[in-house]
Amino acid sequence: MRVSVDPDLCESNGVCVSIAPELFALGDDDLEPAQVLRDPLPDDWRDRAERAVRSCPKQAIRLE
Amino acid sequence: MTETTVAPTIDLVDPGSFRAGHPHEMYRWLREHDPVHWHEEPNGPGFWAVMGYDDVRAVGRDAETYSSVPTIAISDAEIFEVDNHQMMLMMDPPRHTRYRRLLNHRFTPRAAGRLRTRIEELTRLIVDQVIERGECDLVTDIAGELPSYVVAELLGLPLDDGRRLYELTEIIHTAPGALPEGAQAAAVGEMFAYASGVIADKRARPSDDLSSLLLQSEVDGCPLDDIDFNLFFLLLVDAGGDTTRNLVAGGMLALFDHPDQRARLQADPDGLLPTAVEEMLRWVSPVVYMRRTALRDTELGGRPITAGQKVVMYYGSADRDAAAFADPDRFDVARTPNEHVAFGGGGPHFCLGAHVARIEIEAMFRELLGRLPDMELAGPVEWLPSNFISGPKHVPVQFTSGRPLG
Repeated sequence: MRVSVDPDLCESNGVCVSIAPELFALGDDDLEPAQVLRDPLPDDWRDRAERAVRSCPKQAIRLE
Repeated sequence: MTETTVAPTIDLVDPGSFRAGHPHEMYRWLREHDPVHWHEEPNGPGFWAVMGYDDVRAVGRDAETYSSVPTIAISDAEIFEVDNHQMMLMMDPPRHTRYRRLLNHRFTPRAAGRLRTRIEELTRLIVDQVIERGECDLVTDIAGELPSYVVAELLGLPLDDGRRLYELTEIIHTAPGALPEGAQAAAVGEMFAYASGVIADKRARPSDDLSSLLLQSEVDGCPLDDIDFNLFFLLLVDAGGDTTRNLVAGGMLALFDHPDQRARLQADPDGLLPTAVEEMLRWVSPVVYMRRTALRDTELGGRPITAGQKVVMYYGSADRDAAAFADPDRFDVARTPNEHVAFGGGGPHFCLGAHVARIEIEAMFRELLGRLPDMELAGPVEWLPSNFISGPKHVPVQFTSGRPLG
């Protein structure tokens, strides 16, 4: 299972970071899209990842 | 869950329905019996009232079906347009995206975090102003001061000007009829006149604030014109103002009503403030609704929606939906997870200022719980008579007086 962030959609709202700080981070530059910290995704993190996917205001996170 | 058997009278338009806060009896009955409810409108065609968590999020996230044009107010009379310019709040993608991009990077968690120290100074100042008196109005003297100062700070204005701008948004939001004829138009006029002064000042002496940033910005290769600037200015002053105020005042009322939760939070502010802030957001949900307009025929919760119909999301109801929150009518400062929709259900219009608001609220409560720990109600609470913004208007409180920190 892999998580990815579409850099064209992401506007760094940081909702994913507040839901799963161990999985997503924002870069030093405010304009940088969110980064995925764990790839591939550990199986037991799937719930959190799915919540982040559902909560992203821009629907920029994909789980596949 | 309480089973409501007798249908209450449903009226989500009458400001009177909100005079004691969100009408949770109506909300609950609708969620249980008619979660996508056709609501009549006194001077309009009517609208769909969307009450459930999943449906609210589905509408908010689907801007291709549910448009923010021409307005997010239920009444078409509140279409706010100046010379063919609109506020970002009332735009759809891709135009909305181009405007939002101008400011978005100044509201990320990291950018908001850079404001923390200054916001903490402001909360200290606000408590300093009342602490010797031993009593005050929690809404006007504390909760309202914070956002007006923060907005002034963000826009690069003197703090006292922020207070006046905030008073103007109050007037603009007051239900028509409650003020002399023309008072609202005069308030918009004063706001725009002030914004014009800011334009001149920031063009001559640009700085690192949002006003200067907007004045140097371009959309599609064209600089923002003065009307665009004025609308942005109004939106920022407005959106960051009474919402935050109502959250702070309403959150404190929730603590008064739940002394066990208050004691728990006061015993461990470092551990519990982050979840307590989210729970206050869920509990208070200061924005009552946002309206969309269907762009095509569709279906929602089994009800047929016709292109052109108004679809209105009720955030305060979604935030008490038992399908999304365990024991939703329990106020729990440690609730987790807590994916409330107080900042919107996601989608392009998700609250731009959410991270700044969280910092403001957390800093304010840290200061209040620490320095005015025995604050209690000292008189009757008066609520805003508004079907759009929910919150207390006056909350008289008393506390053991102390010394300003200076």
